[in-house]
Amino acid sequence: MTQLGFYVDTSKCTGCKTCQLSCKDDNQLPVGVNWRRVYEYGGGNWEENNDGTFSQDVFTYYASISCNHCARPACTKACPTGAMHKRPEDGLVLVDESVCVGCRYCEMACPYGAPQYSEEKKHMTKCDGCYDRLAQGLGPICVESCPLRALEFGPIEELRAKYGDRANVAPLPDPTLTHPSVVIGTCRHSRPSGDTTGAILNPTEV
Amino acid sequence: MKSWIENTLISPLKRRSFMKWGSAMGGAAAIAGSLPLKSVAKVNVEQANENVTKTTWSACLVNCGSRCALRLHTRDGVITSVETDNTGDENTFGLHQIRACLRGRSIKHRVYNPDRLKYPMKRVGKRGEGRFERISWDEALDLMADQLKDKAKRFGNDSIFCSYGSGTTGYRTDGRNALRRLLNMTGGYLNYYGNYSWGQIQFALPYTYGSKKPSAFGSYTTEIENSNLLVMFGYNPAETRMSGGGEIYEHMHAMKKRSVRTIIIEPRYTDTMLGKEDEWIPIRPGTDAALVEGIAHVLISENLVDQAFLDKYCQGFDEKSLPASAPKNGHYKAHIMGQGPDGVEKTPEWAAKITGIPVKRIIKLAREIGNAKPAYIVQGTGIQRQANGEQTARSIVMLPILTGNIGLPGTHTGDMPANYNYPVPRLPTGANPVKASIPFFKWTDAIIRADEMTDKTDGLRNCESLNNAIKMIICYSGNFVNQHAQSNRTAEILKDESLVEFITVIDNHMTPSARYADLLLPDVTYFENTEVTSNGYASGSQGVVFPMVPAIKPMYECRSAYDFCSSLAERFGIREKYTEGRTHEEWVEYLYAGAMAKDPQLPSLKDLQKNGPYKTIAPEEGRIALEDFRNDPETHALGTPSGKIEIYSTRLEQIAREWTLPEGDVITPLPQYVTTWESHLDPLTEKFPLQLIGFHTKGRVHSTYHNIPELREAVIDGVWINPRDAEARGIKNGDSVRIWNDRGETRVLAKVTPRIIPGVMALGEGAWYTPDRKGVDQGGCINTLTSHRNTPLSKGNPQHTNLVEIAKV
Amino acid sequence: MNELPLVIFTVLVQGAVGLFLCLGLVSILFPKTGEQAMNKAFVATMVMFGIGATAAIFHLGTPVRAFNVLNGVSHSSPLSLEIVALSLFGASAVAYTGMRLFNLQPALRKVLLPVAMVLGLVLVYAIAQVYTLSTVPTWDSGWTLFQFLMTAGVIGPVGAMTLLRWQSASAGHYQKMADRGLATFGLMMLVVAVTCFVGFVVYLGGLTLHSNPLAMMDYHSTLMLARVALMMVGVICAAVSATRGNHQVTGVAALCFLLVVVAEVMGRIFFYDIHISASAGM
Repeated sequence: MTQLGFYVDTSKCTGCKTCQLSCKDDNQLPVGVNWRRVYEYGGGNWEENNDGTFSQDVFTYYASISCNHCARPACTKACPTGAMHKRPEDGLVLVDESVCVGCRYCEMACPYGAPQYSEEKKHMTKCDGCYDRLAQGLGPICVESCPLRALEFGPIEELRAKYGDRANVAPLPDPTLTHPSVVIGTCRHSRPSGDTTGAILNPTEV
Repeated sequence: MKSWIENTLISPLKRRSFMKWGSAMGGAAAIAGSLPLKSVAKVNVEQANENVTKTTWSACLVNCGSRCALRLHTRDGVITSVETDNTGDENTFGLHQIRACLRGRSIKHRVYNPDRLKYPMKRVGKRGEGRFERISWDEALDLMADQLKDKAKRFGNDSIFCSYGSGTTGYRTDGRNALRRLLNMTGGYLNYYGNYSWGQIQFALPYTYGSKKPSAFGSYTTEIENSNLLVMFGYNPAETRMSGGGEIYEHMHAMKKRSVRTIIIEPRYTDTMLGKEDEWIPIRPGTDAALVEGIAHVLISENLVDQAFLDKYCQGFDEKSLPASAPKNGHYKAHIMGQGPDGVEKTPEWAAKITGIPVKRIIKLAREIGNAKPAYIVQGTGIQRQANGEQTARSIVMLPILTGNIGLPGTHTGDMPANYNYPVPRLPTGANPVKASIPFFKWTDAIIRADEMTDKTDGLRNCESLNNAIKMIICYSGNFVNQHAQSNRTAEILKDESLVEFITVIDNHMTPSARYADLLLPDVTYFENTEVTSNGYASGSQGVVFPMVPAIKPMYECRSAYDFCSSLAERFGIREKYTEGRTHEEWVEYLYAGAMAKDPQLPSLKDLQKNGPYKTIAPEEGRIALEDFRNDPETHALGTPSGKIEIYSTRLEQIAREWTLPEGDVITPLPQYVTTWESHLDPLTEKFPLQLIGFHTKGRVHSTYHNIPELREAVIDGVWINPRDAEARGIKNGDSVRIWNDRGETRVLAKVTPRIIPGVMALGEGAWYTPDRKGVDQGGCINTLTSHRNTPLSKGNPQHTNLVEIAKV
Repeated sequence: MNELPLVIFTVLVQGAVGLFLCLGLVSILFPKTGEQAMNKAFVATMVMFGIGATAAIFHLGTPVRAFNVLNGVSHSSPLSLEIVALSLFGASAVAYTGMRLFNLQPALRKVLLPVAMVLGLVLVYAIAQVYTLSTVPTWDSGWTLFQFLMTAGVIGPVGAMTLLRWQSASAGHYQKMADRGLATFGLMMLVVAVTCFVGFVVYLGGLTLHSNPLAMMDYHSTLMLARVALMMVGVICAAVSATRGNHQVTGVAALCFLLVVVAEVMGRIFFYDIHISASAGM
């Protein structure tokens, strides 16, 4: 099996959310369902100096995350129906929408927020790696939409060989939990997983 | 101070706070519930008869500056999804794809939108109430023609105003061009000059550099890769130039190619930064000129100025190059060192108090700028949308001037950067018989106090006074109540039917401004139209020709401007003259054939429409601004009176003498920091202690795309406020807040974030003005709070100069 | 609010297990307690269990596919195993109750009762396993099982007291003894639940997470105080009234039962709200 995965370069990403919207358009997702989400992670403090001027150590960066098609997914392990499964040929984690009962247990278990409940369909939906596009020789819609070319997709081992294997970057959890098939390109501000100096600054947008 | 994290996290906005017990804020779902999505627009049945899947090329025609290719997929005549450019070569700079941003990718929801105007309508209630009844196109065009004739006869054509509007930007042969062609043939209309984007800079910099076009002096951002230091004043391409093919792409490309030390001066920690910059210097809005003067003080004191350059190329740096007309000590050096008329020495300590930037940082920045050769110093245009915007724009360009960073590889003039443009031909609009022109920002004044306005007081051009007040407004794709300053005032003026007698609005959607129409005409979206357009004005070094093929048939009873203007021309008996016997498609073909004759590389129209955008790249020559002037200042003298860079402007000296300005406003021959009304030093801060600036949100383009629930979800409209200011008022992230001053009140959510300097708030412009019965705007429209008071020199829009107070609702 | 069915499900099912265990103990320790009264009490317990189990269905987006949840047994999905445990306890408890009601197979019943009681404990354990997720640090500890056991431990005795008092006329003399026994057990459970809850809070405070679960505690402070107060009032009143004996205080007992159920519902709301994943809130 060749495990497929994403590369997300936070040093290029400007948080524009084109990936999120192009995914939404291509997959006809309603408001409230976002297979790809762009997390704004940041923090820092301000100090007023004696002369009325300010000093600060503010930092922010964005992380665009869909599903990391983990090697040991928390969602498939949790799923009581087997609807959530890992495709043998390329390791994509898919939900069989004809089997899922919509119990949302995968949503609780996944630390990345990947499984998304559809109020319309009454069951779970999620990033499917655009396997239909892959079959046509295209890339995932999000990757091909990225204005800053911050996203890549392909065999995760190739991406790791090219960009290293960092996935322990906040706001992502410790990668040893689920072994995500994602490589994060870091930037000057990147903080490790488990960082408590920052927070997701756009909780209502993701 | 409690850490801001604590402050924000104690709030109930944990994303998956499963029970949301007692919490009114339900996150995205709750917001989606309040969106104006009444029902999903139904597509005309007759359109659904093609039973085929198609992909057609188009482009996004909005006023973001960029222009991006779109590929629209349709099934049975209905748009199913949208992709972007997939042509060219990603590995060859210049041939790279021009990838659309999130707005372009959500275009299908603009086409199939419950707000779409479906048929002509005329007003039945009071103006502004928003009550209309459906009429036929014949009735509508008869009414329009009668009104045009009536105003021309009773007042004169100069009482007809074709208002500012950029909701559809980029049509070459239709839209605004089609309308103006008609109006020019029927006696003309009152002109305006300037625009809300560059209101100050485009008129201020010519006094220094001597030309008219704002980007005439810019170097391309490709020059960044040749520089050793990049200093950006309020330049934020990641949020204002979002195309994946234009300025931000090019900016990133240059910065990745060679890691240039980058310093960004901004009140907000913008998306252009995010660690890509080496340093962010937060600054109070409206004080950039003070920072420049503090830097200039260090440059002069430490002998870091390029004296040879100043002597040879510039007027008014010191005694040597001061013109005879200037007063003694009227030069820049005297002004900075404390020997000028104000007697104030512009030390870094002086600048620190005004700007909020520590003294040490100012000195360090000055030394960096003074020692970096070459340095690329650039400004954005948000900072000039201030009460002292002309001064700020002219001050910032002092830094490259003082250090001689002009006309050499890796340098820039300090203006906004240059962009290449492919000259796709336009429908000839003819000349306007009416010559009088008002500043774009003074149109409401031209309704209520036209008789008082003169060239010397209100910046009228081509006339000394106005013959008429504005009596009829024709608005094509504009949102004048929403986007002009002080919305409540604009609304009140327009409600008075004795002032403007007739308002026609031509648009795709029922915007807040469309509610003030007497006649509403439904325009087709550009996906229902044929066009060949060019890149916008932010494409970097790319010049592009975009094909636009109709993806779907015109919806409902919508008609394009060219189409209904042809019928309108018939009512003036000039149909033949107007159309020259051509349909709109034939105009496109005719004009394209003309373009092909000029550029043999251009593909045939059929090939263009089939294969997508034609891309060219700017020639290497001319990428460095003022290179020719630097090489030969005699032959390539500038358009200033002296032919040199005028630090001391002779023309401004004259204007300062001749013009009448309101109390407190000044025009000075030298660029200098001026403390203005509603600055952070205004005594009004006792009542309204916070500065409020606008910014271009990623979630829409001005007010276009606001009515897309998918975008409102992705980029929540919230006022940015520093945790210090929020905590002092008991405001938490996600709280509903009211923001007010003497001009109005608006309601919005709070985004408590360390990404903004204390004492300042920022609100994305363009949210739709939604006043309730008490006149409180529920829509978060910043123009509820902005002032219609104009700037001194260009009579432009100071829409980022506002003092306000905020409280939890 | 989509977890509301789960709140009802877990509280009522765990409460029903507690009730079943208490009634079972009464039945074993005080075998002479009125047969009629005990039968009705067991039936009432099964009704409570049934309501709880039914509530779970409402959590499913697509309930018509409910049987699919058994597919996951093959890969030991904790949720599938929970349903298996639910079925096993349900089947044995219902069978036992039915046999009691129709007075069938007294010998088998004697074996079946302890089996069903053990399966009840297994069920509480299985429910706890569902939430003991490595990716959710606030749930990933023995405290989850502890909280669920305490729900059974508090609701069980108070519920059993209520049911027996309701039937005190037919329950006879042993009712008083059972009542006092249950009161003692209930008070013990209360002490354990309240004191150990402090330990749970300390545990939460000690977690290194992007957002402090104690902030949620702070946010829920009124809810949490009310919860402890209701639980204490419920258990203590029930216990005090037990010393006064028999049926005059049925109303008080019923009120106490209601208070502890509400208290547990509140506690469970807090439980779902402190779902803080191992990420920084993604």
